[in-house]
Amino acid sequence: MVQYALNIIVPVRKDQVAALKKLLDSIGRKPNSNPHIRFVDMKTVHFMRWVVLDNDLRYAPVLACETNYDGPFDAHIADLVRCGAQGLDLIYSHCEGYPAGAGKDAAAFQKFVEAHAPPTLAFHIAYRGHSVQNVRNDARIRDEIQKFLDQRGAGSFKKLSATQIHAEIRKHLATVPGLDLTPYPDTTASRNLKEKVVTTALLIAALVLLPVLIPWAILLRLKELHDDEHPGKPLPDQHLAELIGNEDHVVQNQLTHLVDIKPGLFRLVTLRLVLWAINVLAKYKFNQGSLGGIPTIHFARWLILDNKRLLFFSNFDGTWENYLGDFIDKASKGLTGVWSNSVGFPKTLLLVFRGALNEQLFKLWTRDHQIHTQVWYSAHPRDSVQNVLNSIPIRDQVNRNLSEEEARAWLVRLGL
Amino acid sequence: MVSLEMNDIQALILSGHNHLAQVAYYFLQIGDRAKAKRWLGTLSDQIATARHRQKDETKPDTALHIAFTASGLRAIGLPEDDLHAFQWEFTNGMSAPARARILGDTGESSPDKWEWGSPAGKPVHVLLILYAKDIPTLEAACKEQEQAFANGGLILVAREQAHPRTDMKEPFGFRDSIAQPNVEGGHRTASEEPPARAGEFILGYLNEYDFIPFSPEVNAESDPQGVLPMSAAHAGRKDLGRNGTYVVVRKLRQDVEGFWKYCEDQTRKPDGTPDAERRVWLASKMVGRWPSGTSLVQSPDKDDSKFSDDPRRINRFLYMPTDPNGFKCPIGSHVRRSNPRDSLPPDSQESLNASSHHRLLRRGAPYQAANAATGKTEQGLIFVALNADLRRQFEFCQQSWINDEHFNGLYNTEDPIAGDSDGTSTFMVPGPGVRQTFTGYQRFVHTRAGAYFFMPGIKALKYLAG
Repeated sequence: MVQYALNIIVPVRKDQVAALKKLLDSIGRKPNSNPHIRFVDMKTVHFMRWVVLDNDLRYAPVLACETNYDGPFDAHIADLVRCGAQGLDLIYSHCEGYPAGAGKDAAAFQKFVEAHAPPTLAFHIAYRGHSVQNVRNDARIRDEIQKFLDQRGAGSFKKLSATQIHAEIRKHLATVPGLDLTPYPDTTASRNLKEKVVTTALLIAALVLLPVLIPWAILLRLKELHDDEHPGKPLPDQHLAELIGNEDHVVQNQLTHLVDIKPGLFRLVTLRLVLWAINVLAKYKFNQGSLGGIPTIHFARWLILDNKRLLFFSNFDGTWENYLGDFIDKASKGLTGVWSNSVGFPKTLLLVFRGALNEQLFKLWTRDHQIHTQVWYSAHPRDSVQNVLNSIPIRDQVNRNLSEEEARAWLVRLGL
Repeated sequence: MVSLEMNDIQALILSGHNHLAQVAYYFLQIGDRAKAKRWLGTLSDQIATARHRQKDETKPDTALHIAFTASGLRAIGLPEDDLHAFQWEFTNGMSAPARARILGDTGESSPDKWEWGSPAGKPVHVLLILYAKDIPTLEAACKEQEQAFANGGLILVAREQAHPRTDMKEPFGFRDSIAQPNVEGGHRTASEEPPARAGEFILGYLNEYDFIPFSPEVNAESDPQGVLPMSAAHAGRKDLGRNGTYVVVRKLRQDVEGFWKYCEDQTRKPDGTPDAERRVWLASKMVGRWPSGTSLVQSPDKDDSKFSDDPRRINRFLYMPTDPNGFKCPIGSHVRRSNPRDSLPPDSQESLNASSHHRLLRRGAPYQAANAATGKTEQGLIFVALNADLRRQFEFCQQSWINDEHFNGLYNTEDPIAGDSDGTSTFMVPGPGVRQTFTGYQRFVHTRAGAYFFMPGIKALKYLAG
């Protein structure tokens, strides 16, 4: 199983923007019980959002949809249509070029989607290869074990070795209906190989680019000296109140961020190259939970709209402040490498230095370009990335034979 | 080494006034702007500055401090535009709904139930803090100040009184205020911890990111007498925030009886009788230190004051070298989450770096008073924290470390001491073998009142006095 990123970007009919936002806000207030889209019945979706991008009057308003889904594509489309039919028709009736009734016809909806699906340029997945069903199943296994241990009482295991405790738990789980306890296939070898391949690929790319590197760096530095950064002026209360009013209602949060790319081909090409490199790294190197050391991002993606604007969607754990703090403390070079090509970013040095390290200005700039997301759905809202990644080996090792040491380490995972 | 403008900085930022054993807090409403400005003008010469603290060899018997809420700055005449230049969290106010969610001020702790600082109650504009060496000195000083602010047309909204206990313990019975950061350029202390950058706690100086924090500014024309320093960031602007800091004040009631009853009930012997030793063991697991202050990683099995008695050792420990899984000090315990040191992912170095961005100077003290409604004696903490960035420091600690039930890989554990547990949390006590769990407890610390203040430098006070 592989997870994919789908974008559906559709122009909104000019006279329908307000009505569409109202409709989406009503869905977004209660995503799990709204009358239009049955998110909870979806089998392929991890995270999904709809957001109207209309904050900048220089651009025609568009409706953006992201899904983070378990492949294949046609099964995902069928899933959306199955759980959304009328709702999809209702939402997209506010948009241009939507064939009436397509929401009830998977083939017609697929055709519509394919015509409006710009590619994701960089995509991060925290738990690559783990379907929605697996995430939910593994969380249930962990809960069942906790329940069993509590029922028996910690004291009753005192005289048992770790392997004996493991065996008791395994015996109990076998009696619980509906759990998938099969171990996961071992992917370490192929991961290591991929990592080697990717390091080589990046090295080759760097060698190819070497002759242009020095002129590029000189040009870049000249541009950096003249680029304006965000003036640091405080943001309107209303903007902050709307964004913050939307945050921290569940364990996870989301971010929609849209900003102009600095004008000219130089920045556009640089940005595309950086995103390509990040995508390669995300896919083959940082593919076990953390994006450059940040352990809280479920799915995140960058895409470019009309070669002019850089759009970022993120689904993360905990608070905005924690998330942005992690950006700065753990991944500032990579993120500065991306966003330094966009307007108003704090001053940088040679693409990746400084930038986001100007902490307060970076946060202000981020908030300034953050957009209120109308609809946001999470399929496993109570599981943090660290929870998901902890529950995977818990499930994986239930039906494996463990050494005493392995069993002890397995028990440690149950102490969180 | 940074050079701090000691004569413009209120002394409280750099000193907890440890020699002054009594403290009173006055929460005041401005009744008359012109009178209040005159009062402030006189008062600004009485405020204890860091210079006084540095020079005085004979320590003074009292110390006076002042701070303003956003509505207080408005009431004394600061225009809306200038107010907008303060941190949004400050102008938004502690009692705003979004802040209440962030801080866990819900249910019985929600702002509409507060004794002061609630949205519907009398507005709090000014905070006066009065330290004194003993009760008679405090009473005399209070009388003097009460007379002065009454003449200045200020209305008393609330008064709190607190005093540090001689054993340095908070009401649950645990030694408090141990991990206190040193401020770069400040007074020397016994701790060997490297000092935090001054800009973490005082506007106008470099912070841990090597930047000068945002500071509220005003137009140069509004300062014809040239009281304020020029802004370093913007031409034609004056720096109103320089040498000031943001102050968090919260009245936190501690359910001492409930806390110890819970610990006792959970640790009874098989025959049902209380087990004094195990009771303290569970309480200490929740706190993360023993009552003496000794860390559980320094002495995992029993309290041992040889660590807490030694000022160089009491705070000298890390988690990861000897306790990566929380077998000694649970990952969910209060001190391991309010200062995680090296224990956050992805590794120790990154964790120490991240932890250094969320430090607070704590200047609070325990209180004990008869509850007006019930007549019962109530105990708790007048929590006072100073920081240059309310969002990145105080609110972050409260929201991302204390109230986040998924903190550091956990599944369902808020801070059992300071968190907003609603009865559905599970406190995990890991150990070799099967972990122990403790459930069925509600929050033991309740928010009874609170507000955000700004504590200006002396020049800024004179500017506000006009």
